[in-house]
Amino acid sequence: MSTSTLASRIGRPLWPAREWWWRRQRRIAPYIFISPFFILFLIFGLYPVIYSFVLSFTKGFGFEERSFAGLTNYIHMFSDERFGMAMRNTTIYALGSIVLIGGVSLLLALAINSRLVPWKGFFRTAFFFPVLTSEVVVFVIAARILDEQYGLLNFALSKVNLGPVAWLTDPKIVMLSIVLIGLWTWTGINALYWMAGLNAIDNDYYEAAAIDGAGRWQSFRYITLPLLRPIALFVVLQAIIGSYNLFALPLLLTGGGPSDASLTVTLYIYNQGFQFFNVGYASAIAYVMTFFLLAVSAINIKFFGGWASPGE
Amino acid sequence: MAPVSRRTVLKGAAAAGATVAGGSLLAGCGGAPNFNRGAKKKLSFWAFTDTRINWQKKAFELYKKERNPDFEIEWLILPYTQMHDQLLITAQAESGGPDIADVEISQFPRFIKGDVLFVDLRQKLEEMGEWDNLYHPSATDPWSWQNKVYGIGNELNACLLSYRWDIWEKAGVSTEIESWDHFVEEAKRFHRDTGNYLIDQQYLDWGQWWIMTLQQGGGFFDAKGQPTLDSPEGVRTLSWMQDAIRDGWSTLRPTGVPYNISLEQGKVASLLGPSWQFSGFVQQNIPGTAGKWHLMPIPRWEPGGSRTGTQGGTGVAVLKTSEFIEEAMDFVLFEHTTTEALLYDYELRQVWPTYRPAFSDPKLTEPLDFFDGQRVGDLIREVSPEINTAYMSPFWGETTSAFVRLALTPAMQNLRMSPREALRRAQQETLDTIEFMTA
Repeated sequence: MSTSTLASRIGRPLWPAREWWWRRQRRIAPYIFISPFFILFLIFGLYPVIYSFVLSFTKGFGFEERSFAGLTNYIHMFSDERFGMAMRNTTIYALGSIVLIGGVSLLLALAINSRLVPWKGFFRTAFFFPVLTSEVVVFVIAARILDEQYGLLNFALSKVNLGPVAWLTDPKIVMLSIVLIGLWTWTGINALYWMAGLNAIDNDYYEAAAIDGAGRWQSFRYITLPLLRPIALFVVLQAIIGSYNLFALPLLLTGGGPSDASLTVTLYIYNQGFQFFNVGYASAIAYVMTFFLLAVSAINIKFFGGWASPGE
Repeated sequence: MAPVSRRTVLKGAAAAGATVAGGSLLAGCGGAPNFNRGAKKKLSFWAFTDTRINWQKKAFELYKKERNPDFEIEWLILPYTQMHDQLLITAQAESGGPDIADVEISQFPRFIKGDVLFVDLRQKLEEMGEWDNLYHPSATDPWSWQNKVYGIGNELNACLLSYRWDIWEKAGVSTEIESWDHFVEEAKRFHRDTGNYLIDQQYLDWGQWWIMTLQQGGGFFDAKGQPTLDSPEGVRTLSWMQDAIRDGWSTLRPTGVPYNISLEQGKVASLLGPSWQFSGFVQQNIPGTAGKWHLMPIPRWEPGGSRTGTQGGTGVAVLKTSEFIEEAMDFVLFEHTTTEALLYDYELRQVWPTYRPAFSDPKLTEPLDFFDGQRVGDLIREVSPEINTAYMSPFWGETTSAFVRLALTPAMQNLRMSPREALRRAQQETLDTIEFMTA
């Protein structure tokens, strides 16, 4: 019997609890090792997620004395002009991210990947640097460059008799400014994604196409672009999710102003939840955004035909 | 096993958060935790700036000397937003928070939403016989709600007009300005002669509108805490500000560093604000202008009207969750009603106190070099009784936000927009928000 074997092995009788442990420790130990993560996740990850879902159906100030409000918070969202404005601004940024940042980063990747460009490592690192920069530093730099009176950009424009442009205080311009800052920040890392995709394309395809008489444009159109589809999906999804989480930059740069012209959804959630202490409504917005992003992501995956490359 | 309630979990989270915050701070200092060292009680004081803590530490030393209390204070400084957020959470969780805290004026309304989390100081102030010794618009009004006083401030934030006397003198601008009408005449002439602006218009923040509206007895709320954005006083101020831009003698205020440059170069030659503005920001940000500033009362709107207002400030509050409420109140009220303690803050930050008897000390009225030898304290004492009462509301944040977004900024950027209509829209949104939140 295993008990007697174990007892005889260690040379003395075992208490039942210890015996139980000796027999099961190999099976249990791995779970104990990974349990800290799950305990922390349950307390600080899952519990807030579930609790905020409950909160989204309640009303009241802060976390005390809340009353059940049914779908009131969700219904209110449809008539809330500020929420509409935040959605509009965030969508502008998302479109800017997809079209502008996605497009420019692809061009950049193609350029760096070209045989004509030397010092590829240097360019890759240089364009990647803004990603490493703290958003606070980005804010400080952007504020100096985009200032209406003393900014570098308006100074440059004045040399060609243009401006001054109120980059950060004109409601019609401010989102464009934030997209431009996003362009500067995120183009480098997106270019790296594209480059990874470009390097993964087998050169045989291009050689075969060249033998068949395909030109550069035709090779790009019918070989490069289709084979980059999984990367394109990744870049687009990243851009969408990142855009709808845009928070620190508008908070620091404009505070969401002027007149909500740069208010983003995340900033509005923060505003409602932490500044006005309207946590029920803030939770409802957060959940709507979660489902909105899930839906948009699903549509994109469908549109791009999934993660697989053509022919896989 | 007892059921785990939401409050219990919140308490645990709050305590964990406070421990992490406190622990990291102590670790940052490189010293050992100072808890449970002796038999004495230990009160905890949270703040968001070391400058305010410094004078209160000195005040506590004085308190210990005079009262020989059986407690010590543990001082903890956290970043502004983090401190107020954690204060709110720990107070609601009834665990892990401090006994005393600094609360900035714009953060205070969050603490009076629903159950008020602070102790009412009014009765004790009255029992001490100090109630009538305070300049209430700065000392207690910003921390008052429904006739109870939940905090007390030591900063007498009487607003004055600070002006670059060197530039005014050179341009021949009269320093005997009594009314806003007279000011406009001088400003127009100044702009015509120099191309610069006597004053700018603050259009991304409510400060200037607030001061000029409060001067007339208006403000964000009435005595019952109802929003009054579209009051006649508010409409008059916004119309005046809009006219200033339309008539070309004023300009919109630049933001950030460019504003400091404008003041330094004299492109804008004056500003409205309290001591944290003229003694604080101006002296810190443009020290090169030392000796070039003078102060004067704010021009009146009408004969006999107020020549000042109050803006901003930080108050000290005692938490209801404290185990040592009496001890905490005793110290907080001591430091705010003891001239010697209050003078520490004047020496450290050039803050004039809200405690009237303190002004009998000659130190407060001594000539100041930064203001070309002007006796600023005399001026502050002269105008302070004229500060009109400002009322608070739990919906301060929602109201000021709607005001800036829907009235101030759009009306100043679009001069065709009617100030009355813009303020009416802001008022309506505020009322709708309050209804939604309280329904």
